[in-house]
Amino acid sequence: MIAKSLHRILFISMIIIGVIWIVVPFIMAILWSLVDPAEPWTVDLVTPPVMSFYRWTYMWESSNLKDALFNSYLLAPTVSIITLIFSIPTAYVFGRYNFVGKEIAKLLCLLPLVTPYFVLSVFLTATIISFGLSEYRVAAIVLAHAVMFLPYAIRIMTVGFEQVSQEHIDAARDLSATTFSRWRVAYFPALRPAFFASILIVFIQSIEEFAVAFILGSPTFVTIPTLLFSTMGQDFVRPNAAVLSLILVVPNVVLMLFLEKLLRTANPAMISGKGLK
Amino acid sequence: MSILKVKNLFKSYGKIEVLKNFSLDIDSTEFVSLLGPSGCGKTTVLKIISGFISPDKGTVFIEDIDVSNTPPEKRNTAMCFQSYALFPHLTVEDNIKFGLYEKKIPKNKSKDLFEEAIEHLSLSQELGKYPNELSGGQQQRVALGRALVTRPKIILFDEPLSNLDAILRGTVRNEIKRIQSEFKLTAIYVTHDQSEALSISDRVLLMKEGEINQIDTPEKIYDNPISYFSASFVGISNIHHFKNPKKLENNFIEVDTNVGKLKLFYKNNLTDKNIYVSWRPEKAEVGEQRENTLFGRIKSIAFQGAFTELEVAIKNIKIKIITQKRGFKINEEIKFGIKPENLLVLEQS
Repeated sequence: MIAKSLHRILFISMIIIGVIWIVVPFIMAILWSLVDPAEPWTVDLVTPPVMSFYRWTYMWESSNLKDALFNSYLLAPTVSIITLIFSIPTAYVFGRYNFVGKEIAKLLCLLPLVTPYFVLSVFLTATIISFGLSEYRVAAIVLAHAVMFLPYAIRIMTVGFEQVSQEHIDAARDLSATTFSRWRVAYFPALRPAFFASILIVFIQSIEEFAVAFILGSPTFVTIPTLLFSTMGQDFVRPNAAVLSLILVVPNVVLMLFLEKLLRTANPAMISGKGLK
Repeated sequence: MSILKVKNLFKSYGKIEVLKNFSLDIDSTEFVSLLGPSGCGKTTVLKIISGFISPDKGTVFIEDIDVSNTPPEKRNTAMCFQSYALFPHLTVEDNIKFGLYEKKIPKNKSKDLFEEAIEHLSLSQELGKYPNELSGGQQQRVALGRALVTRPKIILFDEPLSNLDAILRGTVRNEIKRIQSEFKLTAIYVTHDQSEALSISDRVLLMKEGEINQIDTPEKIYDNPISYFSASFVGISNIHHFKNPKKLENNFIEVDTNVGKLKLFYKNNLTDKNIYVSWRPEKAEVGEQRENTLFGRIKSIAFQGAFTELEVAIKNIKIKIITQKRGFKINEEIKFGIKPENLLVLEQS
């Protein structure tokens, strides 16, 4: 009975927190993005007096939004793929081999995640500038993002490699499979969820990253976060910021839902072969 | 003709010696089981034969060719794994054809081989299904089909029935034997289940702590265990430590045991290692007056239908008796005899 009540209290609390943290800001952003400049939204009104898509049209036509969208959606997938590729050798060793100090090595790999974000960003950009790579703006940002988000990819891919069944690898070898065939039938099916998860996490991290993109990209290379921060700066216009926030968040949510669906289709029975009828 | 020769294998993991001078010869089309408790090294032997593990010392010959340094993909062996190891994202058909494709067997030949395997294994209705849509028995058949379709010289089974329930285990076991016999395969079968090993094999190799304890036909392993280990691991035995052996006429000897004096027939010379005498519970003749007549009190009765299992105490020593007689009562004193030729002398190990 107590457990049931506790369960109910926790459930209601979760709903309330979810509404305060997710639903309210989302609705507020939508409403602010629809405020018509002719009729300002004042504190005495629950909703904007007049709603229009003026801010959306204005941002699209008169800001760097088009460039920022193109750059962000070029950068994030590129970083996701490159980070995934960079992570594979280390994750393979962590996932498939046992060696002395393995757990310490795994922890060391995760260390950048506990370093403050700005410290890490400044350190990385300083390193890239000192190597003279900053003139290759896009490549430099891709490299910096890949290095910054590598710990996420390594951690996720390590778990993926741990899930690969040794018996599937042995069965493929036993049937004279080439190295490629071995990866095709034993590794890839088991690694599929980890691939998706790694791409999703790194994609979101990269598309939302500000500091590195700002330091290495300014003033010519604009991303949605750098545009958003500049909109929030000296000429702060809340409705314009709301438009940018939604442009930044909505595709991420859609992508997350899409990849979540893909992850669900990669069910354990299909990976391991277990789960008998 | 010998198809597989394994000579003087040694294998250690750190300080643990898993195999100690292990040698084995297997004839073509023979079905040999490696039987033993967990950790005795039987799966290590199988993995060395298949090439997944390299021995520290020793050689493996398949058809007189030294394959000790040949990787698994180049050995003409096929393994049936404990978990079946079917590729879960491939259909039954693609799983079975995988080896044919990878071994680059010509299309015409591979078609014939595939169809023959499907027919023998009755899998034609399941070809489009995925492994997780099949029952355990069907998965086992697919694993068997995938292994045998390329006609390997030797097929290796690593506890293939351990994931199946008791009823299915019997059915699949008979199917494995039938397929092995129809395809004239040489098979090595790892199990820790004595009934599986005894029922399916031409020869049983009993392993203990990385060494061969006894290798013989199932009947001989059961009827003539040579050691304390083989008598106690295969079937049920009453085993007594003996001392003061006295030679009698016509190869009979008399020994002192914890249940009394026993007279037994033993042609060979006793050594220091021969310190146990054993007999199978079904060899006791309840109510019979013979040379080795013993008296005991019944402590438990388990009626099994075709026979009855009795636990009998003789001077606080508990022994087992299996008899077809009925009508026993707890604490009833019974008399039984054991023929001298049914008493076996065992070695210590």
